[in-house]
Amino acid sequence: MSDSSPPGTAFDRRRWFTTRAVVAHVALALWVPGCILACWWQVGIGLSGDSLGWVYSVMWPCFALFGTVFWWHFVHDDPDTIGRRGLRRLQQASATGAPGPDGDTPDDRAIELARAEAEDPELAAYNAYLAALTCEDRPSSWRGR
Amino acid sequence: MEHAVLTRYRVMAYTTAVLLIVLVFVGVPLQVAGHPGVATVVGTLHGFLYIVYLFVAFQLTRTLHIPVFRTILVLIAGTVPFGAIIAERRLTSVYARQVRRAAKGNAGTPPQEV
Repeated sequence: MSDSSPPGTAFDRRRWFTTRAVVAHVALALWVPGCILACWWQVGIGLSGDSLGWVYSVMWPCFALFGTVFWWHFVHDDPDTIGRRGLRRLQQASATGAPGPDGDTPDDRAIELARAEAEDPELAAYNAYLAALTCEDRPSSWRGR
Repeated sequence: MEHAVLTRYRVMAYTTAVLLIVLVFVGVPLQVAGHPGVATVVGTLHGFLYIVYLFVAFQLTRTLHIPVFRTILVLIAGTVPFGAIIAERRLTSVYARQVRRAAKGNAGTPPQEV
């Protein structure tokens, strides 16, 4: 997602109003009340004597919570760099040297990556981990371990 | 560190999958036959472990940069008999592919799902 503000400093308000984000908002608005209703329904089953109802009446709020976590990630994902389509876009951009989906060049991408790594120690650690794997004499799949 | 994410997911996928298979193919027939004990115990166990599965699976799909729709499929797979086993195979091969691609020389690029 493009960010007109200085990288990593300001909150990008626009990401909350993309089509993708609005779909996520609607899904969450349906999911959470649905979970509350399902929880209520299971409480009724629990009260009627089926102990499994109590188990599920605890689980549904967990599902609601999980839906909220998922919604947060969905809104903050960058659709242009994730998945097959994102990879193809990145490859096209670097092959042709043409500006990417956000109007940025491959050089911008490299800078972006360096910035992302600086901000996200986990991403940096993952890339370092991948780099370390190349140096080790290890079977090409995890199954060899 | 990241390898642990895959291992955690694999453990939870197999645990929930086996429990669900026992629940559906043993517990439910017994319940229909009038012995609800197995279904109650295994159903409760699967219910709580599925929540753990959700968190572990979500963590792995974020690590592997799995697109949203397929992430949802992976999460739902924990409620379908044999689903978690299939999802585990897929995600493990995605992981192995990413590691292999990194080994081919472009270790500095971010992980991408294909």
